Amino acid sequence: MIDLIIIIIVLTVTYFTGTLIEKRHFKKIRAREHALMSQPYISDQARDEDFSDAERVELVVGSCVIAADRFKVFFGGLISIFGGNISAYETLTDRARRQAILNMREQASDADALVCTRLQFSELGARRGGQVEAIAYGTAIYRRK
Amino acid sequence: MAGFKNVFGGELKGYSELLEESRQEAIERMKEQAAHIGANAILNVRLATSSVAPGAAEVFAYGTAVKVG
Repeated sequence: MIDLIIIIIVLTVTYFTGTLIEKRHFKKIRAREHALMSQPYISDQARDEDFSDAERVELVVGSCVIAADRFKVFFGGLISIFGGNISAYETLTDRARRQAILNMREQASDADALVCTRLQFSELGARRGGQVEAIAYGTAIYRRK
Repeated sequence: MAGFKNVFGGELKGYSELLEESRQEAIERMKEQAAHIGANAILNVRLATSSVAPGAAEVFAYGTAVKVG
């Protein structure tokens, strides 16, 4: 009985703290995305551009590891039984991916172009869906001035 | 700290840094290997992470070593 009460308390508390942490994280992400809006050229390909005047090319990598709160893990497990969209996880993966992309873009803030970008996603940790990692990487190109 | 975050959620900065360092190491090893076989550039580089055991992760980098010019 006491165990059940503890579980319910943990789930309730982590629901509220998790929502708060997520809201703050999204706010930070949006602010950073706005700051990088004028970054010149980003593409997952490199076919249409002429880079013969490139002076330097560089591999840039950004990553982000995010832990899910207990409520998300519980909620995800519950939906996995019946099937359906796990919206709590969609926001989690969205946060990880967007921050990884931002970390990558910030490393290439002086570059003239960022091409051949890739996104990689993986699960870490002992519990299924407990921790997720997103990696964003690409080639930063600096043109001759 | 990671245990705490696993309950409440949030970014695991320590973990991000750890994997970042591992990734640098993997990239360095890839570069060494390319230099060893006489290449001067690596193209089509890919990075990936896999969870091999609880508390352990593998980071790998791979690409095509070429000799330009």
